[in-house]
Amino acid sequence: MSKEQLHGLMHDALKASDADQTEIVTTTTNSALTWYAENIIHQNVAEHTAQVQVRAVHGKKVGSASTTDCSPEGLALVVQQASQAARLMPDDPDFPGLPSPQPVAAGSIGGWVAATAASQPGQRVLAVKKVIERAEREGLRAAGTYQAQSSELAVVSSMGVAAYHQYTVAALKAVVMGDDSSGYGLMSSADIADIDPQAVGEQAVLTALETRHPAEVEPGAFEVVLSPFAVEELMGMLAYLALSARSVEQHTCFLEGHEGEQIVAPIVSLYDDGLDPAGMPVPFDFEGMPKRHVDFLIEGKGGNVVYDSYYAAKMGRVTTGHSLQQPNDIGPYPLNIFMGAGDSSEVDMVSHVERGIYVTRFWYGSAVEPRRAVVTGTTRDGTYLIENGRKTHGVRNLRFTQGLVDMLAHTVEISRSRVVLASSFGIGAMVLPSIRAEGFQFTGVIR
Amino acid sequence: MDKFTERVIAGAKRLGASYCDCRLIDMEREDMSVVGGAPRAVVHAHQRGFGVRVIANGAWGFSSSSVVADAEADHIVEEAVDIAHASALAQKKDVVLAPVSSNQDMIPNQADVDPFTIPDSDKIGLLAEATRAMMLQGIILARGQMQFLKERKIFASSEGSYIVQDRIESGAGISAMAASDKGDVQIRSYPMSFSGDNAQSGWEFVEAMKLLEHAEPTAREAVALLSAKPCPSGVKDLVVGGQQLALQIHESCGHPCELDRAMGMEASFAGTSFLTPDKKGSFRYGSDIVNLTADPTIPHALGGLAYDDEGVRGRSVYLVRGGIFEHYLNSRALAPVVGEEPMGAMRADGFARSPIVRMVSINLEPGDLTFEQLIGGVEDGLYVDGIKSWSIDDRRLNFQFGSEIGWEIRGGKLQDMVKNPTYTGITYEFWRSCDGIGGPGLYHVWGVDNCGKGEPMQVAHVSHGTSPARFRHVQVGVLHE
Repeated sequence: MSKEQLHGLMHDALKASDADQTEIVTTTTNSALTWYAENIIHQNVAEHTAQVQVRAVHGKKVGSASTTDCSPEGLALVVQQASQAARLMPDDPDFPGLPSPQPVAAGSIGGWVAATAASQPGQRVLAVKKVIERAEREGLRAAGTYQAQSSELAVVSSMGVAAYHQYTVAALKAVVMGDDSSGYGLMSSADIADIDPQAVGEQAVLTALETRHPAEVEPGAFEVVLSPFAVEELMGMLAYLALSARSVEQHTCFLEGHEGEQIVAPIVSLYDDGLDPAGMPVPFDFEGMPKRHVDFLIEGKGGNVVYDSYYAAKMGRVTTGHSLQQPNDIGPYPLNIFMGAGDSSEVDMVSHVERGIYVTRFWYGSAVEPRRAVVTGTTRDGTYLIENGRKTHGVRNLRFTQGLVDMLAHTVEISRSRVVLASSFGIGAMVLPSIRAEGFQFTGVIR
Repeated sequence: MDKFTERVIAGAKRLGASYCDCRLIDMEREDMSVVGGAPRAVVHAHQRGFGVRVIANGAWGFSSSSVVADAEADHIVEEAVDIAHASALAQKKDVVLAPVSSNQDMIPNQADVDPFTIPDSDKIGLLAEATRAMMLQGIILARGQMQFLKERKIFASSEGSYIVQDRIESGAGISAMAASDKGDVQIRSYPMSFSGDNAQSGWEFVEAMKLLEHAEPTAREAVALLSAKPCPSGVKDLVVGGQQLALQIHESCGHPCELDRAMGMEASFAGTSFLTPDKKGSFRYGSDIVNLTADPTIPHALGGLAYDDEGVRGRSVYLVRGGIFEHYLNSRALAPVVGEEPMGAMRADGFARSPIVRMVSINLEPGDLTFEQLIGGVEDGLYVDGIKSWSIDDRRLNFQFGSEIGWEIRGGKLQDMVKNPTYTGITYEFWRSCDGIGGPGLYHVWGVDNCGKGEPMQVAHVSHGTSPARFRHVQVGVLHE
């Protein structure tokens, strides 16, 4: 559907609403995914879905309804249902009303590549075959996914909001396994032409080969070099625990009360920027509000968190354009996290470690003490011992239990190059470097 | 067979598919949350769509759409067959499905009172009252939520099955978060953490929870945790409460017993399993008293089903019997590889996703001990309950779980409350150390509505029946600095 067609349908539905205020959010997704394991493709799927979410407001009463029926009749019905639901609701004293429109940098921001949207299953299969064949040449087993997605996000409201963005995502992932080791490779981009299956396969295969016959190290505090994949798992946890207004409300935000104070190492800057084309830009949020740049950490000093219109009104701030689909119980959320680039490289970082651990990936992070952002999880798919400035051999995977603020306070080196990592939300991406940190706590061995 | 699914099946056959199934799903959801007496999120959702799975050229193809119309059906069938042909380019061995009987059946829902007939104002009103009752001194956030689902799912296959299944689910829970001036934050939940408890029941299930009665005691425990002593660190005997043990069963038994994981199919996301096929029938997973079942037939259990999304009639199997690993959760394509019969564990998240091997209701059979006997058998230990955090490695061996609350046990008696209790271990070592399981009077089937697996991610509704149980020599109070 074109922007004009979609907005036309949505505006027609708006006109039929009897509520004081009405908002309609439509998402359409055409997604295809080739899923392989043990050197065969075991699932190959496509889905074509649409969802229309409506918020209707009567005074301080808010009702919501959604449907997958995008026909004019479907939209009219769901608008009516939301309005009826609102009438039956008690007042929400904190509800500030739907937000008024603000200028959005749509259109020029990019993020849509026709070739990704038009990709065919045979194209994905042939790419996956390259990864499989590379693994097979070494007697290894490849697993992973190749996803191609095209989506539209459209928001209109009776307040005058009218926003539209279309975007694409292509992502190829490989986990290559031997008898006692595994390796990981991943590329993601809006443009499927950027995906290099040979490079993804090669990275995973080399890691799997280099970490064969892993030794066991006693848990304890280690200097670590973390790949961007490992940093992603940790920053995802940090985003959930501590980077939004909801985390302030729940007192799990380490930034609360520390704006401008030196909290972590001066080389660490962390921010969200939905407009930066270096990531996967999204110009507005699910309320149609423009994305604003939000600094969480500026050269190690405490910054701000992200807001949607609800939390902004409740906490006396302005929305930063970080609403998820409303209503929700997650609160505002940063979907475009960047860590500022450093001046090092992974090779340099490893060369500066006398004895430490290189981590390709973390897995299954879970908060142990949310207030201090202490999380636990394990390493996977390529964990090395570093000795005298070299990755000498693989080690058995380790469990960590580590305060993330503490880790950022002990970060001593950050790479120049950063990797784009498409979000598991299906929208947005993190752009992250490798880091070197001291005193990282490993608390168990996976035997 | 209805005309729509008939058209899908006929279309797939015409295009050369050797097998086709179609799931046509109409689903309503209500999700509502209240914070401190005020509604925070109330969502009424309706989904309708269909998914088509085919085998062509010996390979799988799947496509789905939210547009239920004849022309779209033709397009989706064609795409599914095209995808199967593409899959065949990398196929090494044809997909072979274990033979099952074709079924024609109509399964009613299990609710007494359809929760969708209860006005929103009553639901929100109950949550508002409960959350207000939790706002004691020291409580910073009182949250309550309810979720309801009503679904009609039609399954039709080229083998002649036509099954209509109706399903109603209800769930609710409340939680109170307390904070101290020193920055300590503690939480207690009732009846279970996150989305509370859930079942294939109606409004009567929510009423039976008596949320109002439990609101204030729940909040009091959250406040009390602020001044509780930290969890001691060391190797101790551990009594795990039912809620926490439900999580333990889920993570350390349910997931590793999924045959697709054991065969490496989930390796790129959730990982593999230490329960490899060579261990089937001989590996000592737990002590003699550990019997774990996969049982989709338990009435009202959230993980229950009459037929799975391959049209296979659900039946109970022992995953672990007498401590020995015995059976997998399986599918028609994978079961024969390990000499099993399909048992009804292929499930998809809605119409848009293809079925994968999932848990049903995974249960620890009750023992014969009272709670007092479980505690009484511990000289120096810990009792924990209330799920707070969980993490387990990608082969499901090394776990570390945190609970909302704990009590020290000394001399066979519960003593001081402790905060931030954690415990860690290796799955089979932990279950081998189990020497006491609570009796049927302590047994409850917990409904868990947030089990994630697969790519693209699918969320399944599963359940875990369990009583509290006792484990010896467990590392508790994991230190991290």
